[in-house]
Amino acid sequence: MAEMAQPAVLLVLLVGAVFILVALIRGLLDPVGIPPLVGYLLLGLALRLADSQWGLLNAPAIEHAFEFLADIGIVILLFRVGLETSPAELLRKLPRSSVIFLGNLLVAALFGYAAAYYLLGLNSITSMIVATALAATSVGVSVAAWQEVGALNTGNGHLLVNVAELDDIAAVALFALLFAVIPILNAGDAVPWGLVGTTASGFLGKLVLFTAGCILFARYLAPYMTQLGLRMEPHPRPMMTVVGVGFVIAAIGGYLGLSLAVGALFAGLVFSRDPGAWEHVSSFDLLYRYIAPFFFIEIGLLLNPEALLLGLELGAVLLAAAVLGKLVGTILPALAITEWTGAVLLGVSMVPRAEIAMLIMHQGRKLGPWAVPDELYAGMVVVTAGTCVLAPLALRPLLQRWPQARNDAG
Amino acid sequence: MSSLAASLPIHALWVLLVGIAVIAAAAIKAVLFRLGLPPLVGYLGLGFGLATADSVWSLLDGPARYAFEILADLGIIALLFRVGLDSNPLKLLEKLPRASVIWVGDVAVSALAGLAAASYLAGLGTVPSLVVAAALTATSLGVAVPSWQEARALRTAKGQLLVDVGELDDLSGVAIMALLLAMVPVMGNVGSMPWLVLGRVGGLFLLKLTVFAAFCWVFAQYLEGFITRWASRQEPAPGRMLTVLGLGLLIAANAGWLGFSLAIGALFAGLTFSRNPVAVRTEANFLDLYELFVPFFFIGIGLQLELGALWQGLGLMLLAVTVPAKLLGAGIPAWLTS
Repeated sequence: MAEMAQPAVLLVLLVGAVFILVALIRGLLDPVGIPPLVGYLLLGLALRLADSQWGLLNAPAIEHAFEFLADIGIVILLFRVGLETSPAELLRKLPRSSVIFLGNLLVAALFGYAAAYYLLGLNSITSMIVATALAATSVGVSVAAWQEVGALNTGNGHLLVNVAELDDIAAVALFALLFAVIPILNAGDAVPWGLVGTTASGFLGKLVLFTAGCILFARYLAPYMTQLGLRMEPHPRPMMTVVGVGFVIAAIGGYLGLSLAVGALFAGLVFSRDPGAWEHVSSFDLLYRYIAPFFFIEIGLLLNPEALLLGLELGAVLLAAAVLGKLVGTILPALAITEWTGAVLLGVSMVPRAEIAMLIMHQGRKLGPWAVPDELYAGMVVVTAGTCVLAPLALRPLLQRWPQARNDAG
Repeated sequence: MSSLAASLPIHALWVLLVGIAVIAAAAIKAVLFRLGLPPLVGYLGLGFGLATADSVWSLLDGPARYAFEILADLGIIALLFRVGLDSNPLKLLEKLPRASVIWVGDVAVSALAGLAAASYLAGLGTVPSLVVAAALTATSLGVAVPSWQEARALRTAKGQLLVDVGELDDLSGVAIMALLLAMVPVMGNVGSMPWLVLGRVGGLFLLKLTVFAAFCWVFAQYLEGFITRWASRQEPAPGRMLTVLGLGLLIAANAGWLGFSLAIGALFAGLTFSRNPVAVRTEANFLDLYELFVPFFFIGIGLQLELGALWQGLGLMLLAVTVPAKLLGAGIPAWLTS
C-alpha cells in the first residue's frame, strides 16, 4: 500500500490522520478524566503495528519527519512546563514544600531503583535511569481532579502544585546529570569515580554557565524581545519570535550536552517571569495541542510489539513500585505539615508519571538496549498509562469525601 | 565551522535551524511589511541564504533537510488551503459574467506572453516554457490589496472586481498547473508532441478532477458541517481546528494520491470548508499556523536556487514580459467593459 504513494503524500496523509485521531482521543478521554497521552501512546503503538504490516514509515522522509515532529513536541512540552513555572514563587514556597519534595523524590527514586535492581535484576545504570524516571511527577493529571471540585486554590492545592513543579525540575536536572556520566559509568567494571567526578563537575559547570546565560537573557533581553515580537507581529497573533527564541535556546542546551528537553525547560523559564510573554501563550497553546502529541506518538512508535508481553510483567512490578514510592514518600513527610486526609490526597495526587518519566526513558532508549531494553521501555509505558489512569480514578472519590477548605490557602 | 554542524547532534541541529528560520521570518515580515513589500521576497532570500550557508558548512546534508521538506509541504498546503478558504465559489460564479472578460484576457495574454518569451527569447524547451506560461497566469492579489485598502478603494465596484478577477486567476492558475503536471510526463518536443496520448491523459485528468471535485462538493454539502459542529462540541478553539486541519490534510493527500499535487488538494480542501461559518470562525487559529508554516514553503524554494543560475538574466527578461502582459491582458478588457 505504502509503495503506491509518494513519501510527501503519505506523510501528509499520516499527519492529517494523526491530527484527527488526536482530536478524537482528546474528545473521548478528557470527559472521563483519563489524560489523552494514554491515547497518544496507543495511537503510536497502532501506527507501529500498521507500519510493520504495510511499511508506512519506511521512507527516510517519513521516518525523519516523525522524529523531527517528536523533537519539536519535546521542546514545546518542556518549554510550556518552564513557562508555567515561577522560579521566584517556587523559591518563596520552598521552606514549606521542601520536606515533601525531598521525601517523595528520594523515596520514589529508591523504590524505583530497588524494584529495577533487586526485583527485576536490571543492571545498575538501567536501574538508575528507572529511579530518575520514577522520581518525576505529572501533576497535570491530578490537577484536573482538584480543579473539578474547586480544591486547587486551597493550601493543599498550592502545596501539591509547588511540590510537583519542584519534582519535575529536579527530575530533569537529575536526568541531565545522569546522562552526562552514564558513558563513563558504562566504560568498565570498576567505576572510575575520579572521572565521574570530573565529568559531573564539567556538566555542572556547563549547567551553571547555561543557567547564568539564561538569567542574563531573562533579565535584560527577554522583555525587549517579547515587546519587539508584539510590535513585529501584530497580526494575527504574536507567536513566532518567542517560539523561535525558545527553539534556539533549547538547541543550545542540546549542543552543550544538556539535552533539548533541559534547554527547552530553561527557555520556558526565561520567558516565565515576563508578563509580555503571556500574550504569546494563547497562540502557543495551538502549537502545544498540535505538535506535543507527536512526542507520545513517537514513544508508541518505538514500542516493540514482541516486547509488549514481557513489558507487561516488568511494568506490573514497576507500577507497584511507582505507586508505593510516591504514596510513602509523600504521605509521611506531608503528615508533618497537614492533616492525614490532606497527606493521603497529596500522596495519591503525586502518583502519575507521564511526560518527564517517558522523556527520561526515551533518552535512555537512544543510548541502546544495554541502557533501556525494549521490554523495560514497554514496561514504563505500562507504568505511565497505569498511574495516569489509576490516580484520577482514586482521587475523585477521595476529594469528594474529604473536601478541602478554601480559607487555608497560602 | 563545518565541524560545528558535524558536532551538533541532529536533534539540536534541526531545532536550531528551524528556530533561526522562524525568528528571521518574523523579522523579515515585520521589516518588509513596513516598507510595503510582500514578505515572500525576504523568505526566498532567507532560503537562498540558508542554501549558501549549507554549501559552506553542510548544515542540511543529513536528516535536517527532511525537517525543512515537511515544513515546506505544510507551508504550501497552508497557503493553498487559505486561498480556498478565502474563496466563495458561489459568489464567484455569480460574478463570473462581469469578471470573466478581464479574467480570460488576463490569463490568455499572460500565458501567451510567458510562452513566447520562454520559448523564443530564452530558447527554453516546450515543457519549461509551458511551466513559465502557467506560472505567469496567476496573480498574487495580496500584494496589491493593501494599496487599495490604504486608499479605501477596496469596497468600491472596481475593488471588488479586482478581488474577483484575482481569485479566478489563482484558481485557474492552480488548475492549469495541475493539468500541465499531469501531461508533462508524456510530452516530448513540439515537433513530436504525442497529441493523442496528451488528449487521453488530459481527458483522464479532467475525469479524475471532476470525480474529486464531486467528492469535495458532496463532502462540503453533507458531511463538513456535521463534522465541524461535532469538533466544536468536543473542544473549544483552538482544539477544534485540529479536526478541520486534519481533514484538510487528508483531502490534500487524497488529491496527491490521485496524481494532482498536494497544492490542488489543499485548494479544494479550503474550498470545501469555505462555506461553513463555523470553520471560518476557526480561521483565527488557522492564521497562526499559516504565519508559522507558509514562510517555509518560500524558504524551501530559496533553498533550491542556484547562485550561478541567478545571474543569467532570465529573470529580468521574464519580468520585462510579465508586467506589460498583465497590464495589457487585464487592462484592455477592463477598459473595454467599464
